[in-house]
Amino acid sequence: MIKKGRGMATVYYPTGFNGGGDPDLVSLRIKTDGTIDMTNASCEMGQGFKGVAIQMAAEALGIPETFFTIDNSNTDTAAFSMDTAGSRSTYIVGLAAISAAEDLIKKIKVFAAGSLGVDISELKYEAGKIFKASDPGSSMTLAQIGAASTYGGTFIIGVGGFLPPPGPPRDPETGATIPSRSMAWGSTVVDVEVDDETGVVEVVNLYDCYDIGTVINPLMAEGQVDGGDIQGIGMGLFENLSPYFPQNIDIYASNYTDYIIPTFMDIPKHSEIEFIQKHDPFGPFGAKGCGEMVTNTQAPAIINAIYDAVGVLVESLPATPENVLRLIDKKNKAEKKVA
Amino acid sequence: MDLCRKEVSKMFNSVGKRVPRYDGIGHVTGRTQYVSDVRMPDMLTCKTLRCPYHKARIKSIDVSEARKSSGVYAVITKDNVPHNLFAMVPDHHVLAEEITRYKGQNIAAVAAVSREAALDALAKIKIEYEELKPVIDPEEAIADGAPQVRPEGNNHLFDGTSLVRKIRRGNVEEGFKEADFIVEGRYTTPSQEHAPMETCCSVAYLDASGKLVIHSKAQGLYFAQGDLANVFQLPLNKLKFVGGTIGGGFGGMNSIHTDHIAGLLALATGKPVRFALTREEETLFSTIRSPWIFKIKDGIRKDGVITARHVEVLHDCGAYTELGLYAVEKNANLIAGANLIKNLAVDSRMVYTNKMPSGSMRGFGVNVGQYAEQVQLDRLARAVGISPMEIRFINAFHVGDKNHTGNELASVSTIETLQKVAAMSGQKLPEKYLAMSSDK
Repeated sequence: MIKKGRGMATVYYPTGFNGGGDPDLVSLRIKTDGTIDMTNASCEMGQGFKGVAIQMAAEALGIPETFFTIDNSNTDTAAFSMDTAGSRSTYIVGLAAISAAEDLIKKIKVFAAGSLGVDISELKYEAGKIFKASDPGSSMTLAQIGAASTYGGTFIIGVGGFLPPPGPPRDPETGATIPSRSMAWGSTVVDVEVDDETGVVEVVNLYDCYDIGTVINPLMAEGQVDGGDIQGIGMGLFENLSPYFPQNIDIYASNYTDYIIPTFMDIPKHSEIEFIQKHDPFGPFGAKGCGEMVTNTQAPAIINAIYDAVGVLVESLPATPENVLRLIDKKNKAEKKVA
Repeated sequence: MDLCRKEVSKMFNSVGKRVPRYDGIGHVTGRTQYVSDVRMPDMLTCKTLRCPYHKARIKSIDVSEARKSSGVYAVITKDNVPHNLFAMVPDHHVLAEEITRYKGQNIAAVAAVSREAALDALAKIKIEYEELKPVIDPEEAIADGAPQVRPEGNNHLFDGTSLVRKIRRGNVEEGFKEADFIVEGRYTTPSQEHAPMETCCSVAYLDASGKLVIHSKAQGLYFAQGDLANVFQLPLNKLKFVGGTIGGGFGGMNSIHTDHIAGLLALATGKPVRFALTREEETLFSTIRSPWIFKIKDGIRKDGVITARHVEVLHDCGAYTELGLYAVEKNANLIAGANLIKNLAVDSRMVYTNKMPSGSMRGFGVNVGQYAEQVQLDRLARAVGISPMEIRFINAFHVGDKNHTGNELASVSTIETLQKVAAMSGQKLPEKYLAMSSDK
């Protein structure tokens, strides 16, 4: 018989390396037509890093994303990145991009002051244009700056970096330290259907609400959450490399026939994502980390929902049909004994 | 979309926009060049000899016949590695030393003109093993007299002295006395594979200036460069990593699986060398999310307030540290979950076993603990007779609270995400929970 159940889970998740101290650098080079080459060696692995990095640089310079190209391709030309891990890239690269943009604007001002014959204190930068505050007609666009500087033998490149403050050394007795200044938050509710004759669990509805601070790109953030949901379902229901661990680890699954990961068939029929955008005082434009947090709540919510449906508690992941069925069987036998 | 969202889009121009993926068209039309797509003229293929035992002594190894094998350009062992240690905590051997520590550990590597020639050469390596007794079960590994995984012992010593990473807050014994119910649970998580679409792959070659260039699947190009500069004993201007766009990582590409050996063979042969893992190798021999065991004992009052919590954690790190230690430290910080628990004790241990080393995987050290903690939380709710929603509202953090490691929380929203997810899923909340706010 199909039994329905509902479960939930909450999470909070730090942004950046545990304990901080993980810097990134960004460079912004202006070209002769005013377009910008951005560099930072963070990895694009499907999460949408490149576009999000550009959006933050574009915001900081007040120009459209279409002005940018990004080079993350190698260690000879792309600015240093500590790693692409720990839900850190949006946050740390974003702050480094803001710092590089400020540096670029400063250098543009120095150059324009000379070109326009204006004192630097009189210059204002706004949305890709530098102008004299008291006489906006006296101005230069990024394209004019790029051409005049390059062909005039002046290299204008904005550089910046960000170092999340390293936490104090742990107190060995209390474990106290500061692992991260910024935390993201979330809650998930799932509805499952459990077949108590086969042990098969299906996630029917999945509702996520996450606070990742300001959402830099909702399309990419939703993609992260969708992926996190699927990965979380895999963790909750399917994935186990060594099902006979710890007694035996010899029977390792080595292919996707034996090692089951979710497919499109396992995506919940109905899922909803909402973001609450609570400004983070330390993050770029108020953003917090996103990548990892969004694959925390699914497994416990599913296990809690299975309990709600059939009254058995899965204390060892994953809740495979075999595991669920064995628990149901044990419960039925125990109930019979009591009766 | 809520009001908050609208305000954000008003404030910003580019931030908050649904900008399509920067290189999405390239990905879906096959224009994107992944490492696995890289081919070079005269490129050699690498295959490695992996240890068939969980633990063994290599009594002798003779590669002379393999080196003479047709189509073979190089066969390397530990003796051909300038500095045979790598990884974030550099205790992992590029090619096995005398004692191997896990099944699948690389012992020797061949670069040959084809996969067949490389496999033929591997078969000609003469190697004599003495199989040694391994320890697989982490709970057995911490016991006295267990087979030793490392010469330093099976237990990691935190701060160089302590068997456990301790988190302490308040007074747990007092907290348990205050409780109306004591609830205990034990939870385990298994080993998991990252399962990226693109398996691990490297193409290494020497450029015209003699610089070693490695096309790498690393998630952190500089991270891998810094690590392997040491292995190759090369300055950073003689070592270039190329990559940055990969077919999935999920943390698996924070560990080096092929770059080191491909690089060594390129240096040895002067030719481009490709080392790509098959799906089977990726699943069996790349780092994993390693198993965890959690024991949680909680005290809770009738009103739903958690008065005390004691958590014991055991992380099975596998044969080398890799990223296991980082995971344990992070897990310890967060295992008590998004609840304000005034009296808390966490005792986390990390133990070495004769298994694949513990790598990083999305949710790294945290989501395993979150599973245990959140399932335990529902158990507590049932013990008291309150709903899963209620227990989470009652124990939620607020702005200005200190979390379990003393981190002051600046921007907090458990309560708001609960309110929102309740509305999304059609659950009516009592007025007192709707009126709550993280801002106190």
